[in-house]
Amino acid sequence: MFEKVIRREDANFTLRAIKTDRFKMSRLSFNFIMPADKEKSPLCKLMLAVMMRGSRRYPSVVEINRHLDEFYGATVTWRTNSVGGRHVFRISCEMINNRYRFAGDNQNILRGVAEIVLNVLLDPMLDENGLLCAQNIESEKKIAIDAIQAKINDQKAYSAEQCHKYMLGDDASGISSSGTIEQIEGFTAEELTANIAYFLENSVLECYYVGEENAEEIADIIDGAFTAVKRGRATLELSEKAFVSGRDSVQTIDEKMEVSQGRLNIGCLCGTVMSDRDYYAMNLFNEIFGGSSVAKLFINVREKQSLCYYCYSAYHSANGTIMINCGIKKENRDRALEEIKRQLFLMQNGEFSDEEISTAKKTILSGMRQINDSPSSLEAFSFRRLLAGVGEELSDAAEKIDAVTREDIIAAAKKVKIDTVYFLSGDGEEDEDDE
Amino acid sequence: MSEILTYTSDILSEKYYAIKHQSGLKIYVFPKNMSSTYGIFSVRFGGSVIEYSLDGKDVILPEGCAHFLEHKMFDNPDGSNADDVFSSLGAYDNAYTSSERTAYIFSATDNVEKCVEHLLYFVTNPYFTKESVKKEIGIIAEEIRGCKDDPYDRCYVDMLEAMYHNNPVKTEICGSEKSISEITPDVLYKCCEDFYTPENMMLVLCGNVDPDGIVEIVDRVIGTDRKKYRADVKSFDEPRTVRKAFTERKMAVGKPLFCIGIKDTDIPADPRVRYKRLEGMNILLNMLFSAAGDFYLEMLESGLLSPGFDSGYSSSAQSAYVMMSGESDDPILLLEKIKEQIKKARREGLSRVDFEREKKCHYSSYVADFDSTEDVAFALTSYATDGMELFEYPDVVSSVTLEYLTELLNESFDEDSFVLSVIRPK
Repeated sequence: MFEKVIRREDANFTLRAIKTDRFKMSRLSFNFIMPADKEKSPLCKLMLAVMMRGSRRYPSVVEINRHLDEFYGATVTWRTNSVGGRHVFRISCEMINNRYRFAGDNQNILRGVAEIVLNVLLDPMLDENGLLCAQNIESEKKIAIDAIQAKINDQKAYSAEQCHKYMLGDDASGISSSGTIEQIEGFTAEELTANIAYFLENSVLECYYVGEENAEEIADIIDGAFTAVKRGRATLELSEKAFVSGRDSVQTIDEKMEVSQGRLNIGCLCGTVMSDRDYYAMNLFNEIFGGSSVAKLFINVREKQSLCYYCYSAYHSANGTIMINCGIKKENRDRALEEIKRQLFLMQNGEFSDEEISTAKKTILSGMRQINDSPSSLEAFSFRRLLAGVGEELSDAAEKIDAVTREDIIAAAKKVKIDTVYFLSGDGEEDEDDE
Repeated sequence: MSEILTYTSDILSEKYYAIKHQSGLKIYVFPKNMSSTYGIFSVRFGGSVIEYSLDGKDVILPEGCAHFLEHKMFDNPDGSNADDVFSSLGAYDNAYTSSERTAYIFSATDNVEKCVEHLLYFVTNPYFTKESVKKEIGIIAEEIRGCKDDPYDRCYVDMLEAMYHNNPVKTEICGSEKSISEITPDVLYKCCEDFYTPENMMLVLCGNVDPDGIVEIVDRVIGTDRKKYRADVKSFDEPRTVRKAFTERKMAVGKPLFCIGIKDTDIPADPRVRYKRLEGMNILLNMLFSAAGDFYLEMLESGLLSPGFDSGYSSSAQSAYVMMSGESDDPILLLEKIKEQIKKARREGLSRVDFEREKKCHYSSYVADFDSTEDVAFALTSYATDGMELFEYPDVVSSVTLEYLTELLNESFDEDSFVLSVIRPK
């Protein structure tokens, strides 16, 4: 799909591009990839946040935003993703294509936006001591700490994350890029500033572009911006491996908090990552088991037994785990857990219909076709496979899904093992203070 | 015969068809060459409809009725469930209830005609039993509990509650555990009878669709008989001032959350004027409070505001308000700063440069919607519900001038129209 691949050795980056006029908006992204590291990752994350507060040319976040707004409100967002023991620091820009400019406006939007972002990344605003600005550091530290503290505001996400944490322990795939409050408080201006060079030198850089402009021109803009920057020879680590906990019995954790709905999260090991032969069989298993509102879990735990409002499972293909989560009344914990276990057992014994297989295949194939409908999903498909070391196109993926048999799905189901059961619930009476 | 109108946009190189079907159903068909087709079948019946009259008889519904009905609508008379049918077609389906409408949705890359057919069928062929209704009460009670634990949702609901004396827009869409326990199959059947009539409904499709094919499906599933929509939803008087200027609650949150509401009771009846006000207010709010403004930077640097601060104006024929939400260590002080910022802008005037820049941003977010069949379908639905055509937008925006914004700035934001809702950590 990304038929144009441009490699620039000196600046050590690759740009993958699709030239198309199908969309009104275009997208350019910079993916900096580093091994997940308990110390370095939170440092890089905070460093980027501070850099995004202003560069020499655009000395404040307002200056940056104003200039982006001149380009019709182009958006620049950055986030950190954890993918199988690696952290991806992604900065993505979305902007309107040149042909939709107001009459008489001749500025090149892509070039303008790319230059702003590259300036912010490569020409940071430093004080008289050559350090990142103390006020921005303090402000971003506070924001990062607030974000850690705010995690409990979303109990669904919080409980899922806790379950992950308990299950994965010290495994690289479980390292959080957020760090701890103590860590963030401890980072100094010297460390953060020194880390800029480290980050630029040691990260792998993968860029993507979907839009109407020429890829060569974009590669030239990026290349040009990097001429004064020391780039190392970091290469992409392509192997992903399934997480193994080594536990003989199921780990059970109960956490109390003042909540009215209980959150049950079950972490399972499945031993299959994206590069494995049974990857699509595992996908289909998950789809039938808990991937949708016609899945076993939803139908049985919610619809037949009214035990919960939601009950889903999600397959994480970068570390071979499946996470089940549901929202239940506290007193229903054991019944819900039993029912979930029973549904897994039934699937392992082949108790699902051919119709369910065909429905799951159609759903996944339909999702695959929709990837063509947005620049970000095109990029996500390609980038995920790049990280997994899997070279496949959408059509290859579709063929592989189609070829999965009932036996393959049963074999995949049999690999799934419950490892950790985490339950978050209120410690007193149900909250009834609203009437 | 059904009447078909074509709307085209030269700027966007797009076109769509608006059809008045014989049954009274409004249909919008927006052909678009993408893999996915998106369909929304909606009814003007939402969480805020509680009291209405029909043929001189007054009816009072339990709170949460429209949302409950949405859940139960998926059961079909032939024993099947709409989810199963869409899944077997490889399609995705969903539904939502807002205070004004209930919408049923599908998205598909294949079998589009069958999906349209089933969408029309399942929403107009209800099937409820005592058992199925009783079981749903348990499921929705869990949903209500889940919402109660969501501090952002609580903060917003508390704001509406404090803002309005009588406007039913403040009614909780899911209802309460108590109110939903009063719901029976009879109540649900009556709602279908009174509100789910073609005249009160709209079908919107974007993607791999053509208008003639769609009309043919509607003829077949809905029929061509016209049945009058007769329900008369009770009107209300809403004072200009808020009910309570401040409300707070303690929950398990990391730091205080706030919702600031500014009530607007000046709601133009003409949808074009209303949209002009909507766009004007949103441009104005961005000029005063966006992340490209000095106010935001000052608040961020002083630590009074965390990133993720949002401000926006929403309006319908029924209600209109500004809402600003986010996290702050001192929401009360922040509110004072916001009021000062408004006064400062009144004193010093608005900047033309900021205005021109903001207009560009608004225009591009309109253009961006046309990259997604889902966004187009939602935009069409909401424009049409309000009595507007989607391609009228550029004209509305160009009628917004700096002078108009100055007028809005000077005439809105009265001291007694502000509400502050706060959720504090326990």
